[in-house]
Amino acid sequence: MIEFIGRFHPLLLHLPIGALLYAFAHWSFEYFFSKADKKTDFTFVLAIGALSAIASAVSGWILANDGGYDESLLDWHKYLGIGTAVGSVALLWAYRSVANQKTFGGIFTAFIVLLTLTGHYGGSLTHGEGFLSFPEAEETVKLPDNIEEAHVFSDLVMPIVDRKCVSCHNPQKSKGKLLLNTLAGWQKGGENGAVLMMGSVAESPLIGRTLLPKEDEHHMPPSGKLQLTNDEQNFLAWWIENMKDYDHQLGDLKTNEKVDAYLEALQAAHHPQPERPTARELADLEQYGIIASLQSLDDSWVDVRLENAADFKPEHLRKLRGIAPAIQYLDVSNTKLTDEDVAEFSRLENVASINLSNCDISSAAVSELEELPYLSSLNLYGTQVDSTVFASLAKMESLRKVYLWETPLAEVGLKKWRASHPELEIIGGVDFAQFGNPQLVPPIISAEQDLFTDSLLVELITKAPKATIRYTLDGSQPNEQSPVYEAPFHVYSTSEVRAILSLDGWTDSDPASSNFIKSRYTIEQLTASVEPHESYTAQGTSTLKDLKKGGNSFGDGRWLGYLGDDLKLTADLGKAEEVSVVTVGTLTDQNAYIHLPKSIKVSVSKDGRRYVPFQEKTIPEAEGPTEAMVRNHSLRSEPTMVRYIRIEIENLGGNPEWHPAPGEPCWLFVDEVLVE
Amino acid sequence: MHKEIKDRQYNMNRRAFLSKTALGIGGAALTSLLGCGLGGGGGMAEEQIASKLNGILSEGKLHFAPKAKRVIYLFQSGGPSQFELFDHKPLLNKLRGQDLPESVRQGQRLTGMTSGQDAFPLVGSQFAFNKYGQSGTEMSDLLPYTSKVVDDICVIKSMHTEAINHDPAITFFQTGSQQPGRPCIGSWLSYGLGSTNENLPTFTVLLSRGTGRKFGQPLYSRLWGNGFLHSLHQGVQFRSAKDPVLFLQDPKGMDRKQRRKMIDLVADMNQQHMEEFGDPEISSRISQYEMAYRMQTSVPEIMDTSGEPDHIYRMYGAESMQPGTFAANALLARRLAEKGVRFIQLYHMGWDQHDNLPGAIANQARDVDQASAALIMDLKQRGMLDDTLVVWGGEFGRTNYSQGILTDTNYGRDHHPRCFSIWMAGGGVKPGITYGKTDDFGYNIVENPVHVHDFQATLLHQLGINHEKFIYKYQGRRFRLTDVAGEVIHDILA
Repeated sequence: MIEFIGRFHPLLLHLPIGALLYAFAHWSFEYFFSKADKKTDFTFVLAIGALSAIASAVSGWILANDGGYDESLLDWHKYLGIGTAVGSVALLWAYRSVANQKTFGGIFTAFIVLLTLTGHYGGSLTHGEGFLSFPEAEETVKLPDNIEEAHVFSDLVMPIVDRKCVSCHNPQKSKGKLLLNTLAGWQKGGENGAVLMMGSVAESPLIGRTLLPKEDEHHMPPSGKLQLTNDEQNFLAWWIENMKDYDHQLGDLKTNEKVDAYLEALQAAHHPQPERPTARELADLEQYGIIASLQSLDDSWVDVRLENAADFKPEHLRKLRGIAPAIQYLDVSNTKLTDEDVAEFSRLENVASINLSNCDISSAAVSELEELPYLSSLNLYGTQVDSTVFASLAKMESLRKVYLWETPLAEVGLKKWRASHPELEIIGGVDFAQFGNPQLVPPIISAEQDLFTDSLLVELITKAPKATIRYTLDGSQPNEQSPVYEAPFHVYSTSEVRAILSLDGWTDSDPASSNFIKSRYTIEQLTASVEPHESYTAQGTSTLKDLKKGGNSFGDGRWLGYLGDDLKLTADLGKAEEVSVVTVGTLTDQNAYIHLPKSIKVSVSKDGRRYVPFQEKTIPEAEGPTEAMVRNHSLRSEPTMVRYIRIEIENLGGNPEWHPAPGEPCWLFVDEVLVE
Repeated sequence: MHKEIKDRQYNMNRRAFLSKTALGIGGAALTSLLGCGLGGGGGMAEEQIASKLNGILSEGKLHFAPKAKRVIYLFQSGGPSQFELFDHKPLLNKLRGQDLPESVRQGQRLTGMTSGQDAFPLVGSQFAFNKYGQSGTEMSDLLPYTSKVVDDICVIKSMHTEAINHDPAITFFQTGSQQPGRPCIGSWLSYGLGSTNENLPTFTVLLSRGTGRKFGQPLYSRLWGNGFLHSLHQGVQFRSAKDPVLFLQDPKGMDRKQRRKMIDLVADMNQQHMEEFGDPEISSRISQYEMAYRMQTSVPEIMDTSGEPDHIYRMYGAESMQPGTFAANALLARRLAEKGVRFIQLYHMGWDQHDNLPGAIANQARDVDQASAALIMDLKQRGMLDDTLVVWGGEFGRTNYSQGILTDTNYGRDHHPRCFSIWMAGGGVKPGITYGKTDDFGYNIVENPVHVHDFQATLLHQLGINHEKFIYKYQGRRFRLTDVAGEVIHDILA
């Protein structure tokens, strides 16, 4: 319980500092500047200062008993703190009894110095000695050029520990009596014993406690402090697993894949950064068609690409010399670059990736790049490099990836090379056999409309380059003898156009087919018994006789939709004609609750008053789900001379039993009435 | 009459004073003081247009060195079933027909389409799964070509979202909010990264309809809308029809010279207007006219794929010769990526298989499988996969139980937001891994959940953007693509 009071020290200590500094500032101001006779009474604020100073000192004393602080610093802070508490009471007394303002000013100033010193030592205790200094650039450990020579403990482990552990485990703060800033501290361990057990991750609290769940009170670093990353944990675990002493060089130990990746990233971060090019330098390159852009806010690396390959002039590359060390990615693909121009790139001492794809260059160009120390990715897609390029590639130390598709190199040669250079990823070709002998997609048969009265222009369309279309007009399967399509043609009678597409090396397409129906009579006037639903009115009843059929989509604006209603249509041919077939189109799209009608009944009349039955048809209900489609219902009878035709269409009434929503009201969609 | 003129002059002066001082000078100063993101006023928009369509983060202002320079997002609209494609759950086949236990469902809300169902019969995939590649990634028989590129992709099986219906879910994926009105990913990137090709839009959209469910959910153009960002940043849809971009071609009888003259004259007039009112939308309009003029030649060039060699068509499949198909769009996506378009958004519709799932999903998968895999192979061969992030996935998953009646050969699946699968490739994403895990019922996530905001944060991260610092202030609020959440999934990054 008593320790708990100690925890209030960081809160309480700010009260006397605030109150007394304020009093000092206010008092000084009045002393030097205020001419008024009436002076402020400081008794109250000084009393608050004194009381809180005493409370701070008491709570501080209790907190100090917790331990874990640098003894000498703590002593200084402790005694100065007691002094401050006593001093604050004395200050209050002096204010009440010392009449001479000048003398009191001296006492006050001395007290403020004491207060400041106490505060400073307190700050050193919590934030570490030397916290009050100008922020310096973070010191980074310099890795040796050859990472194999790095000392694992001092060059690789300590930088992690310095950043993430030492702020608490140092001589000033020594939490858990553990010092991690020196080798001696590591070897000595803390109050709970050894910090690590060589060769055993499980018995090494150093790593074990970082692996505990964050909520665990033993988890390290404590929540709120900078945590170790997964990669750092992996690395430390690997080190402890493999170490025999603290003097290993990296080369002595066998690394694994994860550690390699970590080290690679570390090296990349240590790759000395060149000077960051200025915005002006980069903008100046624009006039030469070179777009050079800094990668991010924090680094100096520059990506270079060419803005407009067509206007590119190879001599412009010389303009890159000013920023050469900063260039990391260079993309000069699709340009008229020659082998000599590539020599310019040998100056790019830090470049990591060069893209020469689709440039007309040979292996000689690649030999210019052999010396680049950091080149790890080289794109030679679509260039003219031959097998002599391998000699150059072998000399590139950092090379990890090379792109060689669409070059004169044979697949066999690549295979051999792949086998001998497993560390290099060679991307050079797709196995086309896996795509088999694919079948072409049918051509599209296109015409303004499906129905016509006189003649109709039909177009056959394919985007397949160099493919041939053959077609027939009588519904038969097109074959080698069928005419080859060259230009749009006319049809003059009802016909079924079929067309296939063929191309060397591909399987012929399935036939595309389309029916074009010639309508004999035009309907003068058409009336309907009910209005269509307001969402599907299209162009009113004239939609049904415009010779434009609705497609598979109910929303295409060519369909009249009726929700739940039966429909009675009356057509007037204008004069009596010989009629033998009446055709009505309807749509079915079960997902949208659109079904075929239950029945259709046609009756005819000469005068529009008395109708006689012509034909009727009951349509069987669909037994299960089908695709959305258009159905034309043709009702035939003996040829009859009539002027008026009445068509009664009965709505199905509700979704069928098997439908996801059985019994729900359903739609009837109608388009086009044809009379022959 | 005299009075009206005086009024107008007074208003003009007041307006000019307010906008030019408060927004113009003040805005510019604030922008330079606070860095990017916080300014976001009128002044910034003008600046942006003046400097050749540069993004707010281009020219070395990115937060990290970018791994990806562009994104191809193969959006599978409708909610592809993870059970038939990626997430193999043999237990569901074993328990076929049994009711989903409440202990698994845990009160998860249902859509209106299945909430009335009496039973929730579990159903497993009718399609077999196998392990492929060196990584041993599991793929269904429906994806024979994707199976060949598993070592180049990263499958995430633990995606989850907040929305349960199509439009809010897609809107959430694209804009970070279920309610419409915020900018989509492509617009954010256009705003942040700017263009790398003056002749093409920064952000293009290509649509295709699947054969799985032909007349499924529609898409709204606001899904590629700029929201409160400048209208320059909205996506431009390239259609498959004769005019890829609507209203772009000159009308009959007008030649390019006349068009040039007209644009110059309109630009002059707009410029005068601009000086008078100072509305940044006017300069945006001027630059859009210019862009449209340049697109009159650049777009037909891109869309004409007849120069592609035969083996490329073979790779992408026969449908790649047929405009408007997913395969043709995938090929176009590669062509657009080559030309430096930043964000290429494909939408393939028709994954919404509430009923007749087995037949429909087989068709739907056939639409996209070969071309998706071909795109990966093609990009890889050209060296473009290193800096192009490819994303394949829908807006949510599907239920492990059948919607409607389960028969021997037929079933359906309803929407399921709690877990689903997507894949990513290239752009610094670790290849050949599977991330995250769902339980044996495929209903809940048991390992490494990835929220939509996490996905968005990761996507931005790969492009060099810290999603927490990429902010636009609008109507007094600071907005982010990831709203107020999202963590970068470092485990899937190389």
